[in-house]
Amino acid sequence: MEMTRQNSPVLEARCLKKGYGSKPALDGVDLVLPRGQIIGLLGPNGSGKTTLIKLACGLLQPSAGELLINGMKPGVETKKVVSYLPERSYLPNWIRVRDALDQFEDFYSDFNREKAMDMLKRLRLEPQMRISEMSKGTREKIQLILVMSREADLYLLDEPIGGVDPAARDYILETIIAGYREDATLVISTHLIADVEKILDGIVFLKEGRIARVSSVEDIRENEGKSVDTLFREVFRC
Amino acid sequence: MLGKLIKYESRACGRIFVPMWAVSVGTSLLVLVVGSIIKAFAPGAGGTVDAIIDMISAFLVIGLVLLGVVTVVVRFYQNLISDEGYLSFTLPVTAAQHIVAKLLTGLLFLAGTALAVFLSQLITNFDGTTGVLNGLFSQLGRVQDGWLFFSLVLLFLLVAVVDTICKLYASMVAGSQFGRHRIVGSVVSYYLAGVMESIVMLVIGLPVFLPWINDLAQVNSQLAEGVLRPFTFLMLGVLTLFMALFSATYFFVSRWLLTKRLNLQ
Repeated sequence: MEMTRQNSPVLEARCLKKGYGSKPALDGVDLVLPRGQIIGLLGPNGSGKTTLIKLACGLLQPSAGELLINGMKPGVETKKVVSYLPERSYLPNWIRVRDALDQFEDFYSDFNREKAMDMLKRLRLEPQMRISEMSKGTREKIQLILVMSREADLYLLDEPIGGVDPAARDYILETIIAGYREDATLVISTHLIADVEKILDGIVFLKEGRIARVSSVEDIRENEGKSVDTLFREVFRC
Repeated sequence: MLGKLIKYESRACGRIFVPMWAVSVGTSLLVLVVGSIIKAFAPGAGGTVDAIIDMISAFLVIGLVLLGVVTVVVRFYQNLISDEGYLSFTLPVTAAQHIVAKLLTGLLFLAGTALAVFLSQLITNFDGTTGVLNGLFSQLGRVQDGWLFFSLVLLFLLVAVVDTICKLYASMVAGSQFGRHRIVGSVVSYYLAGVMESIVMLVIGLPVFLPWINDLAQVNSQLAEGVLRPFTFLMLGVLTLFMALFSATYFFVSRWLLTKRLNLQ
C-alpha cells in the first residue's frame, strides 16, 4: 500500500553516525519522527543533540548511515521545508528587524510576514530596531519569530529558551505552540526540561551519541507515574 | 536565488564601500582646495604642496585598494564561515551559488573602487592623470593590434583578480577545517596555494614557452617599435588561461569543502 504524506515520517535516521576526529558525536542513531508532534530532544551536554539537528539542516554531513527529511537527503529541497533556530545569534549586527523579515520573505516561500509582524507587535518589538541595539534575549526572540513565522514541515529549535529570563519563557513557549502548523513536527532541544515539558507530545533521550529512549509523554506519565524531568534525572544520573 | 543573494550581498558591501569611495573623493577635493589656497598665498611653496598632494594621493590609492580587498575577504568569512553561516547555509541555495554571489559582488565593488581611485587621481592631479592616459592611448594607436593587446591585458588583469579572490576564498574555507587555529590554517593554505601555482607554472608552462619568454619580457621595446610579436599575444593568452584554471580549481575546492566539510564555529 502506498504511504501517504501524512503517514510518512518527517525525519528518518538509519544507523546515523557522526564523528569529530576519533570522537563519535552520534553513534548509530535510528530514529523516526512522525508528523504533527512536539518532540523534546533531551540529553546532557555532549550527548549529540546539536549534531543531530545540524545533520538534519545539512550543516554537517554524516560519517556513516543516512538521514532523510520528507524522504530526501538534506539539501536545497529540504531546506525549503525545515525551519532551524540555532543556539547562536546568526543575524548580522548592522541590519534592522525589517531587513531580516525581507530576507526571510525573499528566500522562503513559506514565510508568513503577517504572522511575524503580529508576533513582533505582541512582544512590543519595532521592525526598525537594529540587531546591534538589542540584548541577547531580544535577539533570540527575533530569531524565534523569524523561524516560527514559516509554514515549515519541520521546526528544529536548538535551545530556544536558554538565553531568556524565566518570565519570558512561557511567552516564548506559547509563541512556539501558536506558531506551528498542526501537521508540522517541532523538535526542541533543551536542558530546561521542566519548562518545556508541558508542551511536549514525545521525547527522545540521547546519551553519548546513542538513543537512550524514545517515548510519548503520555506513556511516561501514565505508565511510570513520572514527569519527564524526573525520568531525565533518573536516566542521566551522574 | 543567485540574484537574491547578490542583492543582499550588495547591500552588505555597499554600506562599507560607498562611504569609502565618498571619503576618497571628498579627501581629494579637500586636498585640491587646500593646496590651491596655500599656493595662492605662498607661490614659492608650490613644489612642496604638489609633493604633499602626491603623497596623500598615493596613500589614498593604497588605502582604498587594501580596504577593498580586506572587505571582500571579511564579507566571505563573516557571512559563510562564522555565525552568520548558520543562516546562510540554511537558505535554500547551493554552496556554488553562495561563492558565485560573493565573487560577482566583490568584483563589482572592486571595479567601483578602481573608479573611485581614478576619480581621486583626476581630482588631485588632472594634468598628470590625463597625460598618462593620452600617452598610453596614442601609443596603443601607433602599435599594430595595440588595442587587441590592451584588451588582452585588461582580460588578464580581470582573471588575475578573480584568481586572487578565489584563492583567498579557498584558503579561508580550508583554514576553517583547523578548528581553533582557523586563521593560521587560512594563512598556511594561502601560502601553499601560491606554491602550488608556482610549481604548476614552472613544470607545465616554462618548458613549453621558454623559447618565447623573451617576447613577453621585451614587450616595452616591442611597443616602442610599433610591432608586437605573435608569441607576446600567445603568452598573455596562456597566462590568462592558467589563471582561469587556478580560479576554477579554487572554486571547486571551496564548493566541495562548503558542501561536504562545512565547519562553522
